[in-house]
Amino acid sequence: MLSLNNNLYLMKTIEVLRKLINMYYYLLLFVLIGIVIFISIMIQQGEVADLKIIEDYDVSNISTLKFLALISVPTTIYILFVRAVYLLKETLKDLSEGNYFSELIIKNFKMIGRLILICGVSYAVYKFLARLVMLGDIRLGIDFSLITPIVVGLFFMFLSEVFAKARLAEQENNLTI
Amino acid sequence: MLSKRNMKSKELAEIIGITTANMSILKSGKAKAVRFSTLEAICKALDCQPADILEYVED
Repeated sequence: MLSLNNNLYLMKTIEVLRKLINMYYYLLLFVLIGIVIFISIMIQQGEVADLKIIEDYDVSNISTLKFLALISVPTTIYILFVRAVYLLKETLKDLSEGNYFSELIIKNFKMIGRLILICGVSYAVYKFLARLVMLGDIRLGIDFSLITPIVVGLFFMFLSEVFAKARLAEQENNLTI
Repeated sequence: MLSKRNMKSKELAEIIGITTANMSILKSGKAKAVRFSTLEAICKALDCQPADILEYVED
């Protein structure tokens, strides 16, 4: 009875999490489409100066090529992040179906971790370099917005290893007669 | 040991209370481990000692 209650609680938790991540994923897609449309309109109307890409730097003075290079990096990072959330969405779908130790889940957790890590580090590097090149300003210090993705990314990579060990234990358990 | 006792794998599986699939895993040597309770049940059903049914083979 206790085990049944625990299973029900687990299923309920995973279902809530799955729905939340689903909503978050579609929201991220919606925002991505919105940003692309918004930037396109701003470029067409020549109101690029209103875009605050790097703090107060006026981007209307730079060439279109430089401007595109400037916005393509955060856009790529954003797309990578959306990909990570998509993988999480797929993983939670598998988990909610009761496939806890499948190869797909282990692979996805590892990839999610890597993507979040890449997103966090590349965004920090981008911010640092863009500020250095555009504003001629160097800022060094502990940036908590950098620590969070590193911690989350490493946690997902560790979770992948835990699931790989659990899969092995499950296989051994199934082969114990 | 099964042929000595004139017993089929399916019968032994029924006596010791495991599925035929698990019995097949045991016979093929694919099993990672054997529970003491299973070993005890096999020995009881075949009236033998563990050494009679276990054999060490080097990889």
